[in-house]
Amino acid sequence: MGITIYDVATGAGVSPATVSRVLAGGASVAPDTAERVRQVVERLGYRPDRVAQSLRRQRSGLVGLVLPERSHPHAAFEAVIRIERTLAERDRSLLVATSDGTRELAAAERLAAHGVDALLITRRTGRDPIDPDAFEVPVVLVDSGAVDGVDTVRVDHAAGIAQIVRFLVREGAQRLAFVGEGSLSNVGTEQLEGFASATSAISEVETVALRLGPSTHEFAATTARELIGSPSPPDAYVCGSDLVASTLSAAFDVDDPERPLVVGYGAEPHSELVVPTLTTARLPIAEVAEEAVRLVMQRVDGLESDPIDIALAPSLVVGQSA
Amino acid sequence: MSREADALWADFWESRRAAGDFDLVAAREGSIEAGETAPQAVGASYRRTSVAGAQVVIADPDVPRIDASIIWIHGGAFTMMSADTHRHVAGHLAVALGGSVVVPEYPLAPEHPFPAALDVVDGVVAELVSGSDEPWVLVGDSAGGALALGSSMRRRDRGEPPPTLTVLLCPWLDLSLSGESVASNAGVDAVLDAETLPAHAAMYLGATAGTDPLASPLHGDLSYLGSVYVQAAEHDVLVDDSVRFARRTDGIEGTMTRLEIVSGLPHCFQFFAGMIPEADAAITRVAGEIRRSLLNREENGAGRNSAEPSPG
Repeated sequence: MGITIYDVATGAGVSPATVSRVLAGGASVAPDTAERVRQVVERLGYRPDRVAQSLRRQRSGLVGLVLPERSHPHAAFEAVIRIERTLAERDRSLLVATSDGTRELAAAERLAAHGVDALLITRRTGRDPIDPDAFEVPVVLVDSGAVDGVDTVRVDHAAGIAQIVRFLVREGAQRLAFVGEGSLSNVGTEQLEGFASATSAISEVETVALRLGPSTHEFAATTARELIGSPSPPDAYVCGSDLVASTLSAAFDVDDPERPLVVGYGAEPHSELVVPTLTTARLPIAEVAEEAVRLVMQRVDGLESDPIDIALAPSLVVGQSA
Repeated sequence: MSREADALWADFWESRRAAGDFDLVAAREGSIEAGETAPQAVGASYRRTSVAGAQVVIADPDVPRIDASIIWIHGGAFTMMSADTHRHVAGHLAVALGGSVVVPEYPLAPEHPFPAALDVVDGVVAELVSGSDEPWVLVGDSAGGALALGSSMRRRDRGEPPPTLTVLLCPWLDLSLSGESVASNAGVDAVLDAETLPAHAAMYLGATAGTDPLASPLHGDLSYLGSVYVQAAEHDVLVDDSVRFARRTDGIEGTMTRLEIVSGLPHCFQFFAGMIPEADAAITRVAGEIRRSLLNREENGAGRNSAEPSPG
């Protein structure tokens, strides 16, 4: 093994991620730091040549997927199936590692040790830049937000929540509540950003409650009790998951004319079965899975370019709850 | 939104700024050109034949996988477009589905006002599906949505069963244009100029009222139309027609609607299959909904629809 990104990082006194950003031409690195990194790169003769790396390696035909526990379990299951099928069409097999949401990078290293040709990584939390060069194989982050310096294919959760807010306003909502994971997950963080930007762009609505917590029945039930009893109860609930939405929706009488609007997220199968049926967001899981496989295989085949970010918006499935 | 879609909508806005007053002859020529230059689906071939006296274009997939009649009633504000302008998108659906898609020609307004188009569509549908136990699917985009539902309303009133599935893509279901989105989305719908809609409606309606149920299904009895999948677009000036259709059919006997509103896209974005990934994904989704309805029909026992009670 010749000069690695770690040698450059040590020589310049910065993290490998910073070296990676400098080499990618990112603007987020202080100019003097960037200059120092470039000098070390030149002095050591470091070349981040992923094509050469992949040619040196024996191809295993395996692609690794790191999948954390998710608040949208059906979506995670569908993603695995779609990724596996798309890989099978290309004569590749899938190796999956799960994580509890805090050890995705350790799981990725485990897969890399098994000789995978490429890595697809979904991170439940954490938005710090990861170093794509640390794994020696192409890495695509899947549905983990936009991250500088790394290929990403993701659901645009902010756009999904923004569409829900616009729909609720059209349906006459004025006092909105958001109930979701917020900073507990990448998805929750993006949802909250989407909610905040959409509500601030529309003068007719006010946000009367932000309730952030785990996507569980208990949290949703407690939240429903608190908000129903509040002096100015919401007339519409934007929920981070169908589980939260169906629990909240069940707290109100079906025939109550004052019943608030409730919108879920994820279009899980039960969203069509509850009464009233949920208005919810359908996530473009199949499309994300296929794009992620396509992109990572292009990298395996030697595509060199700046990092690519592909963001696909959910669509709104209109049921009875809003 | 993809870069391809951004660029396409920018072109639309640009040509709308450059265009003068609405000119039907020019608009028809433009629509023919759009159909001719649209990317054809890989894996489909086309043939022309006649059904019940009407010309039809049939898109056949190279690899057939399903047994069902798919009939696509094309849009074009009742005054423009043809089976040829829509054959590429019918081809994309045929490939995604693995089934042939039939696109009938129908007479256009103002030369042939209401109900000339409906009569032809009705006749083609009857010829293709009457007396058959095969599942069948009726697809309609924009004005084709009103024609598809109008033909199903007539069938219902004659005591005939509805399609296995009706697919409405950005349908125009209210020629009286009473939906709020006609005004509220006028500034964001790159494809459809809301200001031209009253003229198209007037040409088609002739002496008929805009609230006539067979011209504007939203104003009619929407019961017993079977399963309906509506794929709407958030920025469509006609998106309210889809939302109101879903609301009106909620809980109504014999009609089950699933409405999906695709984020941030204009009227009939599905037409641009092969050009923008959003349209390809939408057509794939339509194929998925059709497959799901065929599967449901098998599991429920073939032909069960026809045994359901029907008024009329």
